[in-house]
Amino acid sequence: MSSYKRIRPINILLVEDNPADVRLTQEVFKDGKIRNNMSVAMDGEEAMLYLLKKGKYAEVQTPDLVLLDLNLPKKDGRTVLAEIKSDDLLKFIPVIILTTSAAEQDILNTYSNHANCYIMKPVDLGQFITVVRSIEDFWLSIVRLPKIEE
Amino acid sequence: MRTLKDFIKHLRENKLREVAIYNLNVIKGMDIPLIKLLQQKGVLKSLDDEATIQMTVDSMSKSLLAIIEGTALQNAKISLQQWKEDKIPGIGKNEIQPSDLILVYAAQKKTYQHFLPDFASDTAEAMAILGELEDFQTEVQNDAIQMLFTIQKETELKLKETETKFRLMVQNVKDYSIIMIDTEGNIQSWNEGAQYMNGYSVEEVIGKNISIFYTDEDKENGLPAHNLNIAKKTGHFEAEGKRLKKDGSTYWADVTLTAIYDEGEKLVGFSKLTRDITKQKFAAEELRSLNNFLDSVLENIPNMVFVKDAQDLRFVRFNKAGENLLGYPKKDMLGKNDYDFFPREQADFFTSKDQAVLNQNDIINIPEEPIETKNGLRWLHTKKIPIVSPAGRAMYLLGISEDITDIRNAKLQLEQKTRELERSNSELEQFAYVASHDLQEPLRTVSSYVQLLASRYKDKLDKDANEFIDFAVDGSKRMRQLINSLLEYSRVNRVKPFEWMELKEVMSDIEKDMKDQIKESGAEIIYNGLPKIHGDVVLIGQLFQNLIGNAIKFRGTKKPEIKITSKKKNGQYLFSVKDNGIGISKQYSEKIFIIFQRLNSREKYPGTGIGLSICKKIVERHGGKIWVESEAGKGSSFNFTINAE
Repeated sequence: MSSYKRIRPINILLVEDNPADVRLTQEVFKDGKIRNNMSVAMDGEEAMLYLLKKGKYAEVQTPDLVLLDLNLPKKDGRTVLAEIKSDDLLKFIPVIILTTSAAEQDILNTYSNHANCYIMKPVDLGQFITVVRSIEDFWLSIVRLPKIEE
Repeated sequence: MRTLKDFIKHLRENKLREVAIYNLNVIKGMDIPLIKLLQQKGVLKSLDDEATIQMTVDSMSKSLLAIIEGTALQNAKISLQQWKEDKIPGIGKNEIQPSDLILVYAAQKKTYQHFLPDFASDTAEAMAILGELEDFQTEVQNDAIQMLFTIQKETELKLKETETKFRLMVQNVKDYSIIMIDTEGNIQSWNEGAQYMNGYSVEEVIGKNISIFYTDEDKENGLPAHNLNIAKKTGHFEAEGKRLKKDGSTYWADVTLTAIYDEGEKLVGFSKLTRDITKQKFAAEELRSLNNFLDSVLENIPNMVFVKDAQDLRFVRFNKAGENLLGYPKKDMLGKNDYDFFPREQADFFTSKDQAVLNQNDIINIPEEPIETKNGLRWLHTKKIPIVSPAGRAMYLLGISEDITDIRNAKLQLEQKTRELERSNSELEQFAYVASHDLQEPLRTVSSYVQLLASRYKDKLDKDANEFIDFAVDGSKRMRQLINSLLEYSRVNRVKPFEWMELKEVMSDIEKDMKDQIKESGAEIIYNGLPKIHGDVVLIGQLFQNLIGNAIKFRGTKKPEIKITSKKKNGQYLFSVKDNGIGISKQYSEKIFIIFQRLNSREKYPGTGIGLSICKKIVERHGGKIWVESEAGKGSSFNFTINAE
């Protein structure tokens, strides 16, 4: 497929407050098949500033994919999701919920708020790698994403 | 020649009144005792008054007519018969003597003779009539006397007979000693009863003094003479006392002495009537001791026991425990009611319960009632019981109260403790859940980075580094298992609504889930006729899966055979999961249900040691119990109950 021969790398925004998780995700994506630029927002407010290109984020590129944790300081992931999906300029961005929460309530609510998929963070590294590869395969190779205006 | 009958006819027809008056005069001159007696008794007034004359005229007329008609003898017999039967008014049959009759007839004869010379025409005629008269009179008189004798003899005999009977009766009375004593107390007569009572025969005792019946002590105290003196002075003496038998044993006697006087009112002796009242004394003694026994039972009962009069609810009995409890002495309580001792509100309560008991005629149980005693507020558990007469009328109210103040305080404390414990338990569970949940996060980091380290740097550092990394990877894996189990354990009590489930469906789901394990071990799972039960589907599935998993895991050398049975008992289902595995020694049969308890090495049988404690929690959540029946090497049978509804 042509996606493998993308001219530009995929832009991913990881919204995650745990630096260990951030690094681990970056490491796993780094080892991946797909070229990507991963930006990180450490809380919900920062994520929204990034997405709305406010302040220091005025020059950033709109991400092709958002990996969103739910439990975040300041503005939590649920709110961030709701705001993305109610914003006409942002709602087309696929949002993958990547969280430790197994609460049924969270699963139901996020899908109701148009989350694109819900993934529980595996405890085991091997499984985590599998998950990341699946994301790559599905969202970054198989799925045809909308073209983001630069 | 005219006869006696003609003469008598003449007298009756011509001379009746004269004859009667003459007869009365003759009688007057003869001084007949019977007539005197009649005059004494007032039956006859004087012999001169008209009434007596008229009476005599009438009776004379009748007797003369009887002579004329030849029925005189018969009439006399009739009269005597009336005597015999005691029917003559005013005179008792004993009061007539033969001499009376002879005199009466003599008076008659003399009267008739007096009038004979006037009637007879010659001496021969007079002599003939006189002869006839004498014969007749003699005959009548003899017959009458004969009859009188007969009557009197009969009477005498009867009297004698009565006396004999009376004597025999007295003699033969066995229950009473009836004896006669003289004025000094010497025994004059003796009866069966006396012999029976005292043991002496009549020969042994006649003439002896009654002091022989007294005990030595009584004799020393001069009691025999003392008692006799009272009888002499008052004519009567009555007493109860111990008396001596011939054989030296004693008995209780009820003695009555009664003075006997002769006609001149002189004391001649005493009758002595004695009754053996040993039995009665014994019965009374028995009754007293029974009473004492019941009293001591009542007094020794450690609960307050009281009895109130049904009429006005006043205390009529009160025991020692009651005194101690309330702090009032018995004498203050008796005759009083609740309002005399307790605050109005409490007295109202007690009284209303009393009335309910009496109205319903049934026991009332009051599990807890406060009572203000002299020693402060106490709590009682009281039962109140009506006591009814045989006719069904409420007579008394019986109350039994146990002082439960201490128990109640302990119970309240226990409840408080239980509440605290429940709270701390649920806090602990909450803590376990939160802790295990929050531990996931750092664990994930540690375990991920250790693995990352392993994948990137294994064999790139030295040998030690490899070993350290391996330990770190193992440790993090094991920690993950533990935390997962802990999470599972703390989730058991998260309340979810119960629902009805078909156990055979639950079982087939389990078999699907455990497909690999079953296939690999070659296990055979047998179950039949499992019921429909009410519970948390997920937990019940987990319970069976854990038990089946254990049965497979702890299999011996044989292929595992797992049999699941159920039966209904006392509103619960009893399940049994039986295997042919390695079994458990008896000493561990309790221990295995404790969280994190392991019996086997981790290398041989991996696991967290939390599975059975989860099973226990699930069973308890469904109102049941779990236990194991097993022996090492002989398989195990895990049994548990679950509420059927």
